[in-house]
Amino acid sequence: MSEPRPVLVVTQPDDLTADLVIEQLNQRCVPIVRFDTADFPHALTLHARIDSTGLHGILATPSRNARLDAVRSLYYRRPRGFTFTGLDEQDARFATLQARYGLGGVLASLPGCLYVNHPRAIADAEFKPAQLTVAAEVGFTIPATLITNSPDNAREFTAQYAPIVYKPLRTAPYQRDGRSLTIWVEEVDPAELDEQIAGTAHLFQARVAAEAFLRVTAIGDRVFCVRIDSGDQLDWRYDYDALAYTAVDPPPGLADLVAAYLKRFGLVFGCFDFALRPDGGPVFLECNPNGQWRRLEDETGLPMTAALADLLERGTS
Amino acid sequence: MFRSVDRIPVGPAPEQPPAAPVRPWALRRMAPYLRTVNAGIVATGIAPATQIGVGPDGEAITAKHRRSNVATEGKTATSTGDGDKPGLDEDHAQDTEQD
Repeated sequence: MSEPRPVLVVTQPDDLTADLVIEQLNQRCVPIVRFDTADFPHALTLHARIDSTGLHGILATPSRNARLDAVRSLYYRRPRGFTFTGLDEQDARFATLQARYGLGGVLASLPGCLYVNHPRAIADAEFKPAQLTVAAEVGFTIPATLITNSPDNAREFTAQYAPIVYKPLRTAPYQRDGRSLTIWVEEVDPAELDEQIAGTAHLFQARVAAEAFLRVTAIGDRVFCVRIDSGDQLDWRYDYDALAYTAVDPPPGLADLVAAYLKRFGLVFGCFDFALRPDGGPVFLECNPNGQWRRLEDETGLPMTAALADLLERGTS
Repeated sequence: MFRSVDRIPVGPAPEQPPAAPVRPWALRRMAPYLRTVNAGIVATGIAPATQIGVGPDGEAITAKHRRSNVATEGKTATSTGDGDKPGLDEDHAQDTEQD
């Protein structure tokens, strides 16, 4: 094959993180084909053929073509959903499902392609109960965790492990009076626990006595470890301006556990959060398979953009 | 952001559901963001030659970002990360799209 194999970048137009990675790949003369799934079908043409020799064909964007059997790697970032304006509800539902299983199914089946990450691996790795179970299995220390809709169970757990925190199993867009709201990690006063626990699944966790946090960004076989000092913030995402970032060496043995965790989920990229106990021991909190790292590079100078470009450039070779 | 919900495949909801459950306890913990920041420059298209996001004026977002970083250095409430835009907090509120 004489022409260089392209990297597919699947994301919305507004994605500065992807832009920076693409800049690096442009400097290395690696061909890029970028598109957003929301552009299908009006601005993307799919021509996929599957026969006894496998999957072939072309995906055409307004500016580039990608041969589906020659994709070097696929960077799955922040693509948007399909929309079919002008169709009634059930027609749009039909069209959306065809797009999702058709274009989505082809993108998930590219031969010889390195996925960063595979969309199905991302989806699997976003379930917190799965994260914690796998983390414990590969040897991370994790906080005692309860997932329940039983008020009595929640009270028993609190009595055993107080202080505890509540974390949503999954965040969801939520607005009141036009204002965006979310749930921050905060301690739970045992007196707050009541019958409304029965309203759905709730995740409670023993609060880790932490002196700082570690954000470990794994990119292929490279591990970038940043210590985040957050003052007295329990949820460091609440106030980014109050944070101090320091590039540090990962604690002994951590990189091996990170590698084992990624392998279990079929990931090659992951953003791990740990609470750092006063004795220096890291406690696994969660791993975002499509997390953010650009701020960490800005603050510490760790070469994460270059590492991602390396990974995408290398592909499966 | 992602519709991971169908990783737990289920059929349509029952037509005669049981009595309405209580409102989930966790909803009372919904709280505002500390501050709101202007989402700033938004890319609306892709430059054909570079595949980089461009604003409505055709200028690359990366170029605008670099200028903006210089201009706001040392000030608070900039958005050098992706994490501090309310409703767009990709680390914290990733699932912004539902099936």
